Amino acid sequence: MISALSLALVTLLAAGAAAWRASIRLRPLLSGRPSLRKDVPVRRAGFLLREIGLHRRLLRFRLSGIIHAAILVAFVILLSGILQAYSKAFFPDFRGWDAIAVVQDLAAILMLSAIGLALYNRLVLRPARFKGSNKRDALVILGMISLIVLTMELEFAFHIIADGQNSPYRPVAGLLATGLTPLMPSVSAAQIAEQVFYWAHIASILGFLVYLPGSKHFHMVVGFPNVYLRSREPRGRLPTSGAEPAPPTRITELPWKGMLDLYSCTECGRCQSVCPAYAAGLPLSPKTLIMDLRNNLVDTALGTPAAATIPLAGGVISAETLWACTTCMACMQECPLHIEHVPRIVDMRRALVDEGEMSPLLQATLVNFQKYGNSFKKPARQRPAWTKELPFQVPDARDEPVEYLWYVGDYASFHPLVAERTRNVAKLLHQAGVSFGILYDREKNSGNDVRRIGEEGLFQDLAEENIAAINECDAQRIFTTDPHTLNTLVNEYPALGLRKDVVHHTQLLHELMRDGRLRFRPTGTGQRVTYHDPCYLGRYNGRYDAPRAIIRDLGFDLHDMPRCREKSFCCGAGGGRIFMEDESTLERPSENRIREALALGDISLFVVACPKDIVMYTAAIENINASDKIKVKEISDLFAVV
Amino acid sequence: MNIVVILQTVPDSAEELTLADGVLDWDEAPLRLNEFDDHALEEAVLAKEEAGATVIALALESAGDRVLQTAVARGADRAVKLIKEVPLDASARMVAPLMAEAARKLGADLVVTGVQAPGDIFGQLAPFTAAELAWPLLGGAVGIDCSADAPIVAQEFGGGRSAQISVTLPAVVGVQAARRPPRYVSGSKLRQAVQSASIEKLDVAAELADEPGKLVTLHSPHKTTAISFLDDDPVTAVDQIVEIFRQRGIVGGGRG
Ligand code: SF4
Ligand code: SF4
Repeated sequence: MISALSLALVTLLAAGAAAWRASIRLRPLLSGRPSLRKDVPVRRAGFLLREIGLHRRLLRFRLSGIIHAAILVAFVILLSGILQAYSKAFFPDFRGWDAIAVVQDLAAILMLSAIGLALYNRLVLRPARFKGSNKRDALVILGMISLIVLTMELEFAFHIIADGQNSPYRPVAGLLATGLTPLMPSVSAAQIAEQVFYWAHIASILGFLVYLPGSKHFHMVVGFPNVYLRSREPRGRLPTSGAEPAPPTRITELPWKGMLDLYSCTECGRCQSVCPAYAAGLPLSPKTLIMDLRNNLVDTALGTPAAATIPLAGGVISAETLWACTTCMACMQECPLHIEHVPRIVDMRRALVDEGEMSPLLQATLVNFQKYGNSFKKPARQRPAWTKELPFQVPDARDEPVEYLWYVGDYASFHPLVAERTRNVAKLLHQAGVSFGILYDREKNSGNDVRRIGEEGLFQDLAEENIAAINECDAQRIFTTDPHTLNTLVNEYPALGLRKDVVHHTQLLHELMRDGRLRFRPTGTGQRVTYHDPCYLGRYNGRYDAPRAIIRDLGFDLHDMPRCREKSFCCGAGGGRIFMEDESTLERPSENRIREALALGDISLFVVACPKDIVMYTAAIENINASDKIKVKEISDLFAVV
Repeated sequence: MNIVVILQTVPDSAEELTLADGVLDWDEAPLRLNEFDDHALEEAVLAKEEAGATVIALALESAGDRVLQTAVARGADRAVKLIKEVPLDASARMVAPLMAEAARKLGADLVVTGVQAPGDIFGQLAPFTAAELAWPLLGGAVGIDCSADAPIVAQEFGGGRSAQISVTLPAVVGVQAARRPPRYVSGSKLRQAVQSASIEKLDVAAELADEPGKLVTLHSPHKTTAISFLDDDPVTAVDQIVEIFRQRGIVGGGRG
C-alpha cells in the first residue's frame, strides 16, 4: 500500500527544504543592482528554445555535448515516470501509461549509458578543462540520477514479478524481472520489494531535489532564466557599471543578473579551455573566477561572517587574476550558459583603477594616456610624423572635405614596425585615388583598451575629445587599420555622439579591389599562407571575410588554422595586457599561435590585420627562432610580396 | 594640522619645446606639474591618511585649474588659486613672498613643496619660502611621519646614511621623494573633481621679489669620459669585454 498521506508529507517536507535552500541562496538577488532585460521577449524565448533544442554551443565539445543532450532527453522523458509514481499514490486504480512505458524504459537505458559515458569522460579521459571543478559534486549528482533511474527500473521489475505476467511495454524491467524472479520466495516478497524500491525511488528524487540548490546542478533551474536574460548588446559594447557611477566593490553590489550568472555555472571548464591567459600559466581561469565569486555569494547568502565585506577586486579575486585577462571574449563565446565574464572582470578592474592598485608600468602608461593621449608618451604634434616619408601630403581632414577619415591609432602612428605598414596602406589608397585625411594632432587614443583596463573616466575623456575632433571633419566614412579602435568607434562611440559608418582597412581595400579602383597583381602565385583573426575584428565584430577574400584574390593559397574565425586564439595583447609585464609561466599565447601555424606545414606567411599583432607575432617568431620558417605580413604587405 | 602643499607647473620636457630668442618660449611651452611637487602632495595626503590633517593645495592661477582639481581627486581637502599677475617664467625666488603670505593666510602649520623645480635656474621654492616666513626648513625629505606630536622628517644621505629629524612647527619641508609613488588618479575621480571641486581664490598683497640674477649663457657639461660601443658580432664583443676586464684588473692571466 502506498500511503498518499505519507508521500504528500515527505514531498512537502522535501520541497520545502529545497525551496528554503534555494531561497537563501537567491535572496541576495533581490538587492542586486537592476539588470532586468525586458526587451524582445518572444525572440529571447525563441533563442532559449533553440539553444536547448539544438545544443549549438554544447555540441562544440562533441562528446560532452552528446552526453548532455542524452541526459536532457532522458530526463525530460523520465519526468513522466515521476508523475506516474505520484499518480500511483494518489489514484490507487492508476496502472500507468502503457503508451509511454516503453519510452520510459528506453530513456532509462539512455540515461544510464550517458552517465556511464560521463563517468568515463570525467574519470578516465579527464580533459584538462575539468581541472579546478568540483569533482565530488559532479559524482554525487551522477550517482543520484543513477539511483533515481535504477530504483525506478527495480520497482517496475518487482511489479512485474508480483503481477505474475511480463509486460511487452517494459522490455528492460521485464529482463530485470526475469533475472530477479528466482530470488523472490513469494509474491508477497515481490510486493514488499516493489514497495521498498518505490520508496527508494521517491527518496532519491526528493534527495536530489533537496541537494540541487547547493550544487552546480542548480543550473538545471537557473540556467533557463539566465540564457533567456543573456546580453543582446553587441559584444564590443562594454556595459557601464550599471546605474551606479561606481563599480561594484562587494558581491552584494553586483547586478542581480550577474549573481544569476554565478549560480548558472556548471563548472564545465569550456571557458578555461579556450582562455589564453590560462594557457599561458597566468593566474586566471574564467571558470574558477566565476566559481570563486559564486562561493563568496553563497557564503554571503548563508551569513558566513565577514563574507559580505570582502572586497571583490583584490579580495575575492586577486588583482593578478584580474590583470591577466586579455578581454579576448573567447570564454563568453564558448560558455553554454551565456555567462558574462568580461564585464565582470572589467568592473573589478575599475575598482582597482579607482584605488590606484596597479603595476607601476601600467600606471605610467595610463599617465601617458592622460597627459599625451597615447601610450607612447609622444607629444600630440608628433602624431602625423609617420606621413613625413610619404611622397605625397596627407590632407588634414579638419581643413578639407574627404571621402574617408582615417583614424590611425597609436601603434599604427608611433610604432616603427607598424608605421611602415601604415605608409603602405596610405600608398595603396593614394594609388586607388581614394580621398582620405587624418586628424593630425587632434587624434588621441580611441580608448578601447583604456576602457577595458578599467579606466572608465579616462575613456570618456578620450572619446569626447575624439568625437569633437571627428565632428569637425567633413568625411563620409571612417576607416582604421586597428581592430581595437574599430571596436570602440563602431560599438561605443555612437552612444557618445558619433554618427559615421566605420570600416576596417581590409574591408575598404577589398571594396576598392572589387570595384576596380585598386589595381593589383596576383602576387601570391599559390604561396601557402595562414591568416590570424584578431579578436576585436573577428569574435567582437564578426568581420571574418574581407581579409580572407583579399588574400585569395591576391593569389595566395590560404589555409586556416584549426582555431580560426570565432574560435581564433588571442595574441595576448588585448585588454591592456600589452601595457603590462608579461609573467607567463608557460607558453606565451603568441608563441602558441605561431606553433599552431607552423603545424599546418609549409606555411611561409602569417598574415595579420591588426597593428598590435604585427608587434606581438614578430616578437613571437624571434623568440621561438622560427624566422627562417615563417614571416609576419600585414594584409597590405601582400600587395607587394612577390 | 593644516598642511599647505605648493604646486608649481614646469615645462614638459617630453613635449616639443620651442625657443624664442635663444631661450625657452614660455608662452608656447606645454606645462605639467613639477614632479617633486607631485611627491610633496603624495606625502601630504599620506600624512592626512595616517594622522589626520587638512591638506590645502595651493597653486598660482597660471598653473591652471586642472592641477588643483587633480590634487583634490588625489585627496586634498581644499584647492586654492593664488590670484596675482605673475609672469610664466617667474623664478622660485620671485614668487616666494606670495607663497609665504598665502601660507600664513591659510593658517599653515606645515608647508610642503618639491625640493626643486626644473623650471628656473634657482628652482628652490622651499628655502626661499621658509626664509620669507622665517620658519625652519628641512630639504631633501623622503618621508614625513605626522603620527607623533611633532612631525618626523626622514632625510637620506650618500653612503646609505639616513636621518630622522623631529620638526617644530610651523615649518617648511622640501620633498625629494614620497614614501610611495604618487597615487594614480582615475579619470572617474578626476571627472568628479572637475564637476564638484570648488577652487577658492586667494588674493595676496605681497609683491614679487626682484629677479635675483639673470641667465647669461648655458654650456653642455664637459666631456670627461667617452662611451665606446662593442662590436655587433657577439664573438668579437666577448673578446672586447674580456680585454676591458683585463685592462681594469678585474680578471688576470691568459684566456682559459
Ligand atoms: S576574455 Fe579571454 S583572457 Fe579573459 S578570461 Fe575570457 S578567455 Fe580568458
Ligand atoms: S562559466 Fe560557462 S563555460 Fe565556464 S565553467 Fe561555467 S558554465 Fe562552463
